[in-house]
Amino acid sequence: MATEKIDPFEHVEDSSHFEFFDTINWRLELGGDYKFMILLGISALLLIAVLVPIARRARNGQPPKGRLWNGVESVMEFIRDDVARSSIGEHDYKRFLPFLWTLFFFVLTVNVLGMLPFSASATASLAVTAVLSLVSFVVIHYNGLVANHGVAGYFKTFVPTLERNDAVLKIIGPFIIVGITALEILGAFIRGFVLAVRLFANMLAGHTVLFIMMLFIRMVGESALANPDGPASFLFWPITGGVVVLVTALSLLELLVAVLQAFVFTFLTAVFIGLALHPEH
Amino acid sequence: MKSALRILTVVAVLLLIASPAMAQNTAVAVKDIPTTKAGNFGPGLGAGIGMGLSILGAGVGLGLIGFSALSGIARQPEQLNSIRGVMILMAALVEGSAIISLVLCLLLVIL
Repeated sequence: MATEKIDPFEHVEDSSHFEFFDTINWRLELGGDYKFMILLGISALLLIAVLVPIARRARNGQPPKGRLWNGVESVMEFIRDDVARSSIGEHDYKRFLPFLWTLFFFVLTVNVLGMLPFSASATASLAVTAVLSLVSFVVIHYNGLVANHGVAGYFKTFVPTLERNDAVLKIIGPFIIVGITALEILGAFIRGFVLAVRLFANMLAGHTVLFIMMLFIRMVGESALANPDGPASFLFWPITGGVVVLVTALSLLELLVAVLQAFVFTFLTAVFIGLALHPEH
Repeated sequence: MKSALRILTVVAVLLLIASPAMAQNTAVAVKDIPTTKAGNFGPGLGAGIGMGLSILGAGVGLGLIGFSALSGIARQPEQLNSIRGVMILMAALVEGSAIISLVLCLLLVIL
């Protein structure tokens, strides 16, 4: 067994060092808890370095040439058609496209950067995803307020309409209306919160599972070193081989989850913007 | 002119937000998992039951999504791409709820 306590979240959460190899103590010390800040900065610079030249070339509306430009434009077109236009509607979707594109590309880059060896996903911190969700929340409800002519108009969209046909409904109708209005307003806040927690929990859980599976190798190795005649010595190589194969497969799944969660974040933001602009009643 | 004003606004807001961020305390704590002490199996039991139930719910939910997607594809094979897209989206949402529950159960043991 492990001789000291192992924290399963050690490499997944924010820390004050970039750790490369633990046993030879090769690590990069930062001044404070800056690992995720540096990763976010690297993602932002990477995005600027890739997207700004493409934007400059696409400025005149000419068709794209080359693989990178085509790739970026096809992703942007996918978000424009299947996410923005279908959720927000023909009339208003163009205003929100820069925001949705930025959101998608940024969350995608931060998530996928965590799949590189020795780095972590900065979105595995509730602070980062809460800020992203807060930005979405402000965009959604500010546009809801503007589109529905002020606070009173926007509040009215949360109130359900009941057809008071029979006598029972006439009596308990007001209670139902008050209850459902409160539930809808609470729902708006809960949706924002769950948007943050969904991204955070997916990234945290995925990387923690990968780390714990690789921890099995260390546990078997330490047990084999501690008593060389025990069962662990002949189990070491099969377990190591099995864990490597399994971790590779899980890493592919984790890559899919990284891309998918970025898409889900953007898609839900677009859906909530559409709901705020064109309420259903 | 307008873009310069926008850039100046962004830089000013960033500088205002940065000063509390740089005042974080730099405590590097050596993390220690609190093992459940003898006789105090409550958090572990609750976490285990919670995780089992949430995976059960996720399995049933994803199975239902797969079932309806497959029967839709079987009825109309030409709609394969749109059905597949919606299926992946729904699966991500259902999986997300299960993983939220898993992480919160894990917090019972860790904290």
